[in-house]
Amino acid sequence: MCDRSRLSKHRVSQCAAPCGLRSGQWRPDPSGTRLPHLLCFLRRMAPKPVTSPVPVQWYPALSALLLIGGLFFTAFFFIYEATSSTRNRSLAKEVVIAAVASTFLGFGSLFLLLATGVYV
Amino acid sequence: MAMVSRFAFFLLWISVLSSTTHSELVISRIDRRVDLSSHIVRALFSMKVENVGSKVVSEVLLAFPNMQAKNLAAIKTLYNEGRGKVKASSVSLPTAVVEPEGMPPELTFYSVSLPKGLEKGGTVSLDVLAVFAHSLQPFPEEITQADGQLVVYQDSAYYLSPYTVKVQTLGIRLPGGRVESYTKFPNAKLVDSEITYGPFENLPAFSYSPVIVHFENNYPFAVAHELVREIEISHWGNVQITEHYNLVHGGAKTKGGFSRLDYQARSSVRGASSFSHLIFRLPPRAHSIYYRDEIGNISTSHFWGDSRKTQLEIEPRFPIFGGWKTSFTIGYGLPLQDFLFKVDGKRMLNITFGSPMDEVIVDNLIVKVVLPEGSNGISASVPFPTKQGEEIKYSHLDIVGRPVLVLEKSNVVPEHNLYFQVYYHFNNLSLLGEPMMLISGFFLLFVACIVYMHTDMSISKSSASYLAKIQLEEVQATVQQIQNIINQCLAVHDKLDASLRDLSRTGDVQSCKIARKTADAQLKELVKELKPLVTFLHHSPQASHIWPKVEELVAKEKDMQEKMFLRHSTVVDCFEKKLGGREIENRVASQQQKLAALRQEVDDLLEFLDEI
Repeated sequence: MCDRSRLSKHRVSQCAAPCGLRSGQWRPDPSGTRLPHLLCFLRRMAPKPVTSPVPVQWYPALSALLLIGGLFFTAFFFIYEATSSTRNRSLAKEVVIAAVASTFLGFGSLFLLLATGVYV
Repeated sequence: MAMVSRFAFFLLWISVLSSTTHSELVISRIDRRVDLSSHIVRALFSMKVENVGSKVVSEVLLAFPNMQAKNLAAIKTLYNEGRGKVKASSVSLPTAVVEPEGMPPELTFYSVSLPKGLEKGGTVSLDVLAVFAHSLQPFPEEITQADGQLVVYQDSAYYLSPYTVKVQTLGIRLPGGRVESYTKFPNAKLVDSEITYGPFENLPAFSYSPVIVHFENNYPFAVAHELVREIEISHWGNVQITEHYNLVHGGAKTKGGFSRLDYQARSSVRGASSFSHLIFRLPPRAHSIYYRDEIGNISTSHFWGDSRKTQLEIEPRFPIFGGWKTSFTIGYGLPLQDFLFKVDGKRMLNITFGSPMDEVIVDNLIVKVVLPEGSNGISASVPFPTKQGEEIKYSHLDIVGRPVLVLEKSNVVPEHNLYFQVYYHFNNLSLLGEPMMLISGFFLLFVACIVYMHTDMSISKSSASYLAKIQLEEVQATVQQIQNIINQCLAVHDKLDASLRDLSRTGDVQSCKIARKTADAQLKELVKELKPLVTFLHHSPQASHIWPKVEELVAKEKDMQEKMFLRHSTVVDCFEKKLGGREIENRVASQQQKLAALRQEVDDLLEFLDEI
């Protein structure tokens, strides 16, 4: 049978052993994950669970922070547009502020979508 | 019944053949146990096969009459190694094989491959579990609401096998309740809802004795005509499963109308075979569960979860009687790390194939695995044969669409609810494509703003109002530049102040003098820059209302400069003469006050100009 110590610690309960027959019915083991029998013996290639690159608990806080930052830079952009006169405006400064604002807004809206359950 | 007589006739014919074929194996003992308590028939054959021939045999044939074989949904053989109670868990895979050597077409054969050949004189014990769907025929086919449901099960008391059987028994377990009739020949005993036939000894191959049991079975006959199970993977942390059910009651059809009053008030007229609750066993940590149909959300559902499973119990909008249909959708989300793994550079999804509903027969099951955009090299490994295909689905933030792996299977029973794997390649950088799309969307908005502000969209370039506007803009620009320069002057003043404070702290006169020199130079430059701007403003007609303020500002600033320098030199002098701190303060006091007042006025003016 397979050695539990070799499996990843994360959430594997036991290997896929077909259960003995009891009164003519069998069901798959409902607890946790059952990995295919073959993989138990591949010690070096024990499957590693894949998780999201950003912890899921952070999504709402991260989205709020990034959106606030994005709105701040958007405000900065529009104030600059409104108060500077035509000759004094510098295109480089405008583009830089727009880029920073759109990055923050883009990531903020992505995490907003994820936090509300639309897993894009 | 015609079926049965035809069968008996062919049996006569086949018994001639039987002695010549398959004489190497003999079944020394077989115990058959058939479980009829639910609407899915499960038959367990425990057999001991003995090799009485001279050659090594590596396969055992199992025969089923075609009538039974077309309802056979799942078959599984377990091989018991060793003599003791220790059950080895190796599984041999039976496959359907059609015998070419004159075997009758009314039989379907399954061949079980033994892991090591059975030598001469050896025995092997096998446990075969066969699951049949739609094997219980409702008889009568239509019942009223008050009747119980009676069904018919047909089988053979003698095990139909291509080998001779030495000892055999058959046990049929009934669900309890009324047994209308059962075939009494041969040797039938009905004890406690279990009918036993046998034991029978030394029967030739292909012996068959029809047995019919007519009994009451009120188990909910839940049959899903079609189930579409969509498993959508998002690498941001969620596996979303959506299941669309077309459920039908597969038992005796209801006739004579439905009386809600009888159903609710009188429990004897309840419709014993109807069902109103369905139970789903979902994996643990399932969240965001919804239950809806075409009309909208259905609120009659409960769910509770613990660390081993989540149980969802739903009630359709109406109780399901025989022949009635309902369709609904169940959806739930699961955490990604329970089901997606990285193996060997590929990603592997490990998830159950069948429906999580208890005891349901699915006539046509379609599983669609939707993988994220940018996945390639998709392959699936399923423990039983399925029909596979691929398609594309367009979902949130998609450019090229998501690849979908479609697996189809018909006649699915709960024994098919095993784990299957899907392998694919995915580069983590493709995950960045989604925020990049959002970022570029927002950036385009900003670029549109910039372009709008930079373009000049007035129609006539020589009208009086247009020219006036241009001049006003120029005045504004100039005022802003003047403000800028004044701010820089003030910064220089501050630096000078700081140098004085440094002096009182450290006593370094030299650096103080140097600071004064640099301040002097900077201020001179700034004044030079200021000159053309001031003259321009002076001459432009548009600036007439702010010109006095600007003039005042410049004058005050000049005043400040002079007073600043005066104070500075006084302090430095006092220091050189080594006078006390009190003295210095006395001499500088009045100048200090005037400076403060001037500074305040300059600040006010700047603010005023800002607002213009």
